[in-house]
Amino acid sequence: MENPSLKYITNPNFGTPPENQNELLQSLGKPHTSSFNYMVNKGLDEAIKDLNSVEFTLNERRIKFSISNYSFQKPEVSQEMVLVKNKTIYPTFCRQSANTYKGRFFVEVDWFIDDVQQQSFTKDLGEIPVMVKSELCNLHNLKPKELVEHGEHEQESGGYFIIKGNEKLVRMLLITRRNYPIAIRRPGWKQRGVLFSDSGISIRCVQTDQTATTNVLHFVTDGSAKLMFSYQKTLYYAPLCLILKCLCNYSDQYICQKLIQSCDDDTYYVDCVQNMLRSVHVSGLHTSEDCKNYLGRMFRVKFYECPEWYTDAEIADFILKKCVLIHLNDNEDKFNMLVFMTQKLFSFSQDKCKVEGTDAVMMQEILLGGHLYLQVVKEKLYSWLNVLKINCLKLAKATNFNLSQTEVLKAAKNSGGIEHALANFLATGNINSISGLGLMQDKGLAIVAENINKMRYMSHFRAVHRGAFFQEIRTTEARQLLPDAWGFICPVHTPDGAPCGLLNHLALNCIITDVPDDDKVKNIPLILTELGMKPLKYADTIDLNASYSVQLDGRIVGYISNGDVARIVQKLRLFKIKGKMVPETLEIAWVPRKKSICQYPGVYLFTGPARMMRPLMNLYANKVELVGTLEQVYMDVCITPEEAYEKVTTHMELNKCSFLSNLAQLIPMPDCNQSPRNMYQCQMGKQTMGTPCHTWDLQSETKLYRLQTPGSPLFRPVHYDNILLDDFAMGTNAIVAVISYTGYDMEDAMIINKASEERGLAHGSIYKSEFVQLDHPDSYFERDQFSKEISYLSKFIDADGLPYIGRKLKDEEPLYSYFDADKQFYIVKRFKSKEECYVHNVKLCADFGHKNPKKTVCFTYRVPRNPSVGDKFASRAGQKGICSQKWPAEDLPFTETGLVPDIVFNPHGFPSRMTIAMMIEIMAGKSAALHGLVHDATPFRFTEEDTAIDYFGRLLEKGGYNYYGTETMYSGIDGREMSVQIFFGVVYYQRLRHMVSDKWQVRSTGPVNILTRQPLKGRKRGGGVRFGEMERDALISHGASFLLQDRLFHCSDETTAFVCTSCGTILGPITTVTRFADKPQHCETKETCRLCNDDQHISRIQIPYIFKFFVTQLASCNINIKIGCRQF
Amino acid sequence: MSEGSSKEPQKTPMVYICGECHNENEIRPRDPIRCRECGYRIMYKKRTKKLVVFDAR
Amino acid sequence: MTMESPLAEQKPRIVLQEYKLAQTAPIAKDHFTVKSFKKSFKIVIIRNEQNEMEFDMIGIHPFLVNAFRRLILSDVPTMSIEKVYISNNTSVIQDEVLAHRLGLVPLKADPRLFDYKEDASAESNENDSLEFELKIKCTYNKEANKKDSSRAEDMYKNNNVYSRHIKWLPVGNQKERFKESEVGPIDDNILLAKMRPGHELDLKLVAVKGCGRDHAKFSPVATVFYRLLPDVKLTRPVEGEAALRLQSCFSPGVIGIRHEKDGKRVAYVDNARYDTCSRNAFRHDDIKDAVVATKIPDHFVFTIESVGALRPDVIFTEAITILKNKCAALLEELESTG
Repeated sequence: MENPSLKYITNPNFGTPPENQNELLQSLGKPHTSSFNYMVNKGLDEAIKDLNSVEFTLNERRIKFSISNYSFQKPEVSQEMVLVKNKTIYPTFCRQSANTYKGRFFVEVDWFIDDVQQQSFTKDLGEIPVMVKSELCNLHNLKPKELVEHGEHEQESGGYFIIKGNEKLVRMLLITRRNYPIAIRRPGWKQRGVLFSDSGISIRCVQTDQTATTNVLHFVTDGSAKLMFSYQKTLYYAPLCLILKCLCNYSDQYICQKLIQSCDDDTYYVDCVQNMLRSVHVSGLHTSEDCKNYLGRMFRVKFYECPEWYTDAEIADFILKKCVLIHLNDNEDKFNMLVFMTQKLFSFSQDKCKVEGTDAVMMQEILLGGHLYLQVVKEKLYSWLNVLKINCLKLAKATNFNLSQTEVLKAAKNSGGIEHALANFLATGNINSISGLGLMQDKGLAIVAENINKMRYMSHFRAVHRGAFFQEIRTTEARQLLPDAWGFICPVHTPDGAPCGLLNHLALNCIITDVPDDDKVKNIPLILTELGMKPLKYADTIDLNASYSVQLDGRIVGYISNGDVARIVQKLRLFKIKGKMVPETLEIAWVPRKKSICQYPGVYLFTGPARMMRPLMNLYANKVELVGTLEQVYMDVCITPEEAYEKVTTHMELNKCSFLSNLAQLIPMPDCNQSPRNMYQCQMGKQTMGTPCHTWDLQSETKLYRLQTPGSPLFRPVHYDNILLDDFAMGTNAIVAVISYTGYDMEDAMIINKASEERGLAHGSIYKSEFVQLDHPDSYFERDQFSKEISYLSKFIDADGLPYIGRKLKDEEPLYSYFDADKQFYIVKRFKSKEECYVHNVKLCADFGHKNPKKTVCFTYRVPRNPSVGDKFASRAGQKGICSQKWPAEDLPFTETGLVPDIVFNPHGFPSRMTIAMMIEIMAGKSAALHGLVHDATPFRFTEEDTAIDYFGRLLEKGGYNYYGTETMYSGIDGREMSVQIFFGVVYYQRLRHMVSDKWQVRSTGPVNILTRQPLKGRKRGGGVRFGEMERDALISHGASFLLQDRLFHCSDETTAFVCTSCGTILGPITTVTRFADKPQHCETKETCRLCNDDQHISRIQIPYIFKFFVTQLASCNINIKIGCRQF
Repeated sequence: MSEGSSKEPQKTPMVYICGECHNENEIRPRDPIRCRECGYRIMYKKRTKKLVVFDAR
Repeated sequence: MTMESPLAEQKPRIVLQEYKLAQTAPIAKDHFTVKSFKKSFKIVIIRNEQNEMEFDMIGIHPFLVNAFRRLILSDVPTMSIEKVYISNNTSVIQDEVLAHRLGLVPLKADPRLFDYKEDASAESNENDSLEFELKIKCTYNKEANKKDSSRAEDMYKNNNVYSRHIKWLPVGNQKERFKESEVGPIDDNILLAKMRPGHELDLKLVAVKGCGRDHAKFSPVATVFYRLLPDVKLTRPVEGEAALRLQSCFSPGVIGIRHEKDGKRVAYVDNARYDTCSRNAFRHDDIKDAVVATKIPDHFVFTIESVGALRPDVIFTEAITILKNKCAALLEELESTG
């Protein structure tokens, strides 16, 4: 869309679901759903194929279990429930009744006795969570109208799971790019072994079922190299040449020649290679066989998964398959890749090429929900096979056991499933894995998609996190915004504070690639060969010193000579743009050779999933091309046609603001703001009260914020219309006067017109839901009809024991009553909240699973939250403020036309914040209201010559207002005309969700900590706000000693203690209590000092209890505290 | 159960609306929670004509 | 003691400069006496329509004019719905929001005929409150052919609830005191709620007398304001293109263009009354010296926009009565304390 307009909301059909969904909004859930779909269609098949079988001996027979097939059902009610008419379960059901949206999962198990296949069986592994709007979801491919019929929004984009009613999302993580050897320098690597250096070539290998593992080729300072591989989180190191010799049975001469080809002028390197080869022989390993046996023998104890009958060589093969360059299936390919890595390593260690590091976006890709989910499933399947094995072994303990079909089925019956493990993973975000799945973290992998408003909700789906690991480390490298992030990661939208730079958001046009078409990938080497690439087998025929090696997804496919490379890359690019022969998502990164030291040269092709790509205009083909992160670094991209250099510039941006994220594109004229203000707005937009949903009655969210009187902004970027944000409006067009008035507007405070508030400005409410489940299945909700208090109870509770709909609830009023089957009597529960609220609805919930479920009820309350003093408001320019007063309308200034401001904004907010966009908005909003327009706030549309201020100024002038947006005003208090002109206009104001009602905290006395007797902290518990050391300093510096005494002593842990003035201790005095038989109410106390055996010198003092505690603690270490006492 | 019939509130049947077919169901306290028509498991309590007073401000 | 200050040209003016206001002469701080005030004060009614009124107050202090403005906003009472008794509301609008909305509906009823309710919790009676009911149910429109239209208006009955659906329930002798047409919402077409078949509203509404200080819904006016009478003078002839530009710097009708015989176009001041004083003339260096815009500091153009419960002139006289009563009360207070 070119310009924003009011067409959408003024359309008479506004509100009727459109024919098709909005593509931009669909792209939110796309990476998530497509990765899940991949798992369902292809990933699980591959994972099962790759899954190790479980082999063991039982009664001296070799037993083998393996999974041969699986099936996945859509979420539905089991066929046994005859009374249920509609068997499909839709997400709204799970959301409302706090259930999990899940589908049944079956596996087919093959099993063998002594390699003889037995009859395979199918096992139900439980219901596992299903992603909303994936192919397994019942909402898949529904049209907006049908979605609305099933209780969803017309633009529902899915991509999340529903776990116990919460919308859970697997967090997208920025992780190292797959199948590309990266030159890294990491000081910590020196500790990995004797003589280890900090340099290494690391490669994150990902095989087709998305199983990942990392290999590092370390440079050892004696001139050798060691390959690191890991198995079940433990790292192992093996000499490079040992692995090379294990991989292929080549002669030393051939290996040497391979290693030094294209580097034969480097004598140091040649020496090193020869030494490495020699050292293998020194260890007595001469042939490939020797090496394999040695490797197998050394690692046998660690690889206990391999059955004991495996030979050493078989174990070595297992290691090579599962741990070394697992993205390649062929040992020859692995050999070639290792050779390449060695050459890069030695080039790197001699500073002939640049370090790459993992912090740059060009070296990163994204971990997707479906891929991680697949990994978890794969691992849980394996552990389930192990449970099956253990069950069999358990059964075998019985006498005269004979493993048969029935016995195996019996074992399988008790083996449980994977339902719980997967639901748990999504509910907590923790994985508890043996292998670690090649990740750097095992916590915080799933997040709740909070729906505070549409902006917050959308941002979750575009957020990418760098990983919890980096949150702890003190270095800032991982947080830096590097130039290669342009167009992929939004430079504006990142929070400030702890997660700054780690929690990023994808730029609007950035896509995450999906798994490519296999056939198209297979075409690539053929096309390359046709274009002039020399395949590997002819490598000897060309001069490798003057050619580039070509890698396709981490496999060396051939060489291109220096002269041909530009032409071939260009041709391949045209094939890619066409997208018929090769995938459109192919990334062609040609790292050229330069005279200066640069990145290690080569032609690297990537087709894999999970990469970030973005569309650019290819100027040569004049077509849109997808460009990857590594690819972009070596491209010349201009933004506008004027910037292009002939024959240099190859690509152009599609849009001037395509580097901004979804939320940053909603900021009005961010190009006119000081940059941190835009970041603040990105944060504040996500905390705004607005319209999170339209299905208010179909929600059971714990807390939902609703703005009652939202409006459509008059000054907005086109993106606002593109994503149909008018459907979820979240602000109010307020008349704002920029004036210092009343003195209540200091320090970012703002004044709200009382009359405006009373007429509905920024009115809002909170919807709160709570579930109540009765503990006993036989308990039920009912009001005790024979109760003595029946007339009292019936005021609050209906005959069914539940509150009346629409009733106003106050603190301590009866809320519901039920019959407790355990205790056999009625119990009345009371409502506990400081705030009054209304019963919005009451839902009786049950799930389809249980025969006799526990009675569950969901109460939804409405808490009215109209603006009050202390509530937070913000314009869309990062200008937040607290409402300090609701000022009577008659006291506010008014203009010549009788307008009274809704909000008074202090002009001191402008100079230091430099939010010119807000000033422009005041003028633009005013002229929009005047002429009945909506103005465009898209950035970069005005220039220095044609400024926004002039444009809107002239519009105001046309409307009879002052060019600069100012107006004459009259004081509302004394009635005189003000001698300055007041800047006056319309601003879209957001009401933030931080409200005093949620925050106020007051205490003089209250609950205390048992140990220290000092006040507790926390608002919920009635605790206090900490009066800390710095606050103490402030009072001391003011000499406010009484206040200090009050805060830190009287209101804290003041106690009365006895001190013996002769020995000076407070531990000595002991109180003896004498009771009198005739007067049981009275007693006499007497203090004596245990140390002096004397009661003459006891006096009473007031001390902090913590001091007494401290003295006691010291006494336990044999330290006595003596207090000097004097009488005044 | 029957002797308590003199009490007024007991007479009014408790009506719940099915979340799927919007059918009005009468559910007694010990009944399982499900719609008699379609078997759906979320039932909304129906609003009764209980007077509530609001300030119009 | 009083100076006989004639209403002459010598009166001080407020001059609009580019960035600030300036006074030609300090406003004489003459002692206020009733005599001089009576002599100099003048009201000229320009416009007096059903709901809108514009008049000039000449020879008066801004404090006093402002006092009337403030009194009208916050002290002149009207009747408004204050309590909403909801028996049933199954529509999508929440009870409290509907109640707030109903409160803002302006009501036709002369507040002078009612008493203030002594105590908010007291029983209402015929002299201090009005009762209304809003009972409406949305149904399918059986006459409509379904294929005919998919518009909600055709498919359903009562899908929109308007203020005209509010029905007055006379209490006590109210039936005799008021005609049916005298009580009810002023505007019939205020949308209150939207409904769909099955939704139902069953409300009883009680309106009481109150003033704007308590809640904006009781305010009798949409807005009330005043401004100083502007005056524009040209110091030298402005001709040709500059004249057109000058014209565009002011509100329509302020500057006229005269076509001279020789074909020249010359600007002249036509009627400066409705100038918005935008000072845009100062943006043009060539004409900013040609024009002097001033305001007359004791000539107020007073506008009342009534909501409709009372005529604007009645609102103003009510304000005067209130001011009188306040003064009387103050005097009484002063005298009683000695």
